[in-house]
Amino acid sequence: MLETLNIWVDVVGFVVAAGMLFGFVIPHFIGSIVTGRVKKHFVDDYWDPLAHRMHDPNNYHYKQPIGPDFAPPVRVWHWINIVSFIILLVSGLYIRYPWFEGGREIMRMAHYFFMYVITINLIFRMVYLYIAGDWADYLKFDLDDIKQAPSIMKYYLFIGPPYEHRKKFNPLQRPTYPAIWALLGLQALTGFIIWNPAIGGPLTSLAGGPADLAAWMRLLHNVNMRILVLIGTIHSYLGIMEDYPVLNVFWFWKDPDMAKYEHDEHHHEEEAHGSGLDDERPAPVE
Amino acid sequence: MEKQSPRKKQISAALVLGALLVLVGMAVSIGPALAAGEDDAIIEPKSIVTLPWKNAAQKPVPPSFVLPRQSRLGCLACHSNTKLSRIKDGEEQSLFVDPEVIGNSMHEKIACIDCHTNFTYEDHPAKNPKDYWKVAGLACMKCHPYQKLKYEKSIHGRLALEDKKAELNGKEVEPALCSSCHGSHNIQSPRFESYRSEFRLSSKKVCGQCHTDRYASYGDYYHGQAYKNKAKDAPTCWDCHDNHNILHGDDAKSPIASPANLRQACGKCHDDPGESLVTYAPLIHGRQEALNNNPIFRLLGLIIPERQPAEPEPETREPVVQTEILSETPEVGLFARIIGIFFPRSLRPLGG
Repeated sequence: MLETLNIWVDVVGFVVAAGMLFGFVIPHFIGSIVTGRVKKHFVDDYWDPLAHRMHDPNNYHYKQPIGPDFAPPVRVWHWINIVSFIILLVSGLYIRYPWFEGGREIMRMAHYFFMYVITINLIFRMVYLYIAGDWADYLKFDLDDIKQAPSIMKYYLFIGPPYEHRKKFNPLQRPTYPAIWALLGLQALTGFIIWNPAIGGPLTSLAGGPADLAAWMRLLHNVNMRILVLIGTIHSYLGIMEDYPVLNVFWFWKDPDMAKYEHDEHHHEEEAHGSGLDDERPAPVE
Repeated sequence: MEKQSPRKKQISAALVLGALLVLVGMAVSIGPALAAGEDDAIIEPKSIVTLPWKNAAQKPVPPSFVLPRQSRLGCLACHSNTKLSRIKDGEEQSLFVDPEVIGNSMHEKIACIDCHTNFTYEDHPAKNPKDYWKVAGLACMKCHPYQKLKYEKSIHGRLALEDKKAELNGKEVEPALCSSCHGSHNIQSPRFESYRSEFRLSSKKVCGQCHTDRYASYGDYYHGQAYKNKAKDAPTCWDCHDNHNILHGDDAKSPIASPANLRQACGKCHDDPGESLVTYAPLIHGRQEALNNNPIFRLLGLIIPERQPAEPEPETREPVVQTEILSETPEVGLFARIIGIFFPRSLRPLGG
């Protein structure tokens, strides 16, 4: 059974990755060009205040820099995550599909070193979630969130105006992060069991032996990696395309020029009139 | 007679000494040239060798003309000449044996005739070169009885000792002798870690020179991919198939013949493998084929060109790699040692 799954994981993994690239990222990017979103965001440098939390009178972000949203430990944590994730991905792919000579030792060492780094980082984030008390930003949902979800989907499918950012993360974005943490936890667990199957405890006899358990975990580790890469790619793409000001703040401590949005109403009317983007206006606050 | 002054005596003595030095110098410089002239008379580059102990009628000369056999000097008198060659099947074939290579080998202290046991001046070059080559190729069994016992029972050994040919990929080939895998004049000892590592990575020449298709397909799965990319912990052919006692895959005793045998073979590296793990075995040489049989992959083949299983490279029949003994123990960096503390022994860098 393992040998069949091994082939299917590679085939389905390739199809899904290609599907994500050619079925979502590239079409969405073309859609963003056609509908003028790329021009508006990256040429005119205009980001709808309501959609980007820069001018929302209904919440605490109103006329405030976005910076305080992201405490320095969270920013550093995210940087460590990015670096570790990329190194783990490259080294892990090399271990599974070695493509050049003599890289085995260094890639394995890198993989095991950053295995510790990302696991400790994840544990830190879970502790910090409790210390900083920002768990609600990620885990609290209400009826309003469910009501708003379709409008967000419509915006991403180019059939609706920009949605309004009412909380720190939108209702579709919010569950993604706990999901990433869970998947990272699963990745760490499967990785540690591959490293030492004795950690698997009762799973060992279920699998048929330590080597068999390690083989199953290797398969799960591989599948999970592919899911993380999918989420990571979409997260990175949308982060750049749709939330660049926040990403700039989050990565480089660079707050947007708020003065630019002081006369937002007037600016937005001009933009809408000039570019025929009436439908790109954020939905009014309910 | 006028008595020479001491001064003149000194001058005369100096002249005599000078003349002597000139003579010695001439002897030293001209001698090799003369010797080379003699060599040239015996061995003409790019021509058939005329041996000194055979007359024009190719009859053995009296036994009084022999070079010493009990050391290598006799053989190397001719075979150390880089130009020594013969014409075989219309092609020039070098018969040069590098004294330095033998000197660096594990057999530096044994004589040529210890392996070339059927050497005689009367029959040299041998009338039947194949036999001559085969005797030397199997001479290892004289001093290595443990390996001999295993080899005799192996598929290679049985065919070689019964003087049969092996059928491989529809062709008849000579079965592997000791020297086919281990080399001959350049033989090294696996006691040296540096050589052992290098020998492990030389399976293309050890096994792949005959089993070209199997070596080509070994890159299918990540065992082979890692091996071909010089991973020191990746399995080489004989880790699964065994070495001196290698058997045909269909032989019930072969380590790859059954799931039960495979559990033992895989167990050399994997901790106590069960039934699930050994199902991977067919992928080790057949992953590309399994991939090509996958229905979705076949569908993809309509869009993107289907990758065929790796084609074997042309048969090379190169000699086993000559290696230098670098060191007896591998070098492990301080960083690797420190990091190694945090990882299980099997996963540590080499020797850590």
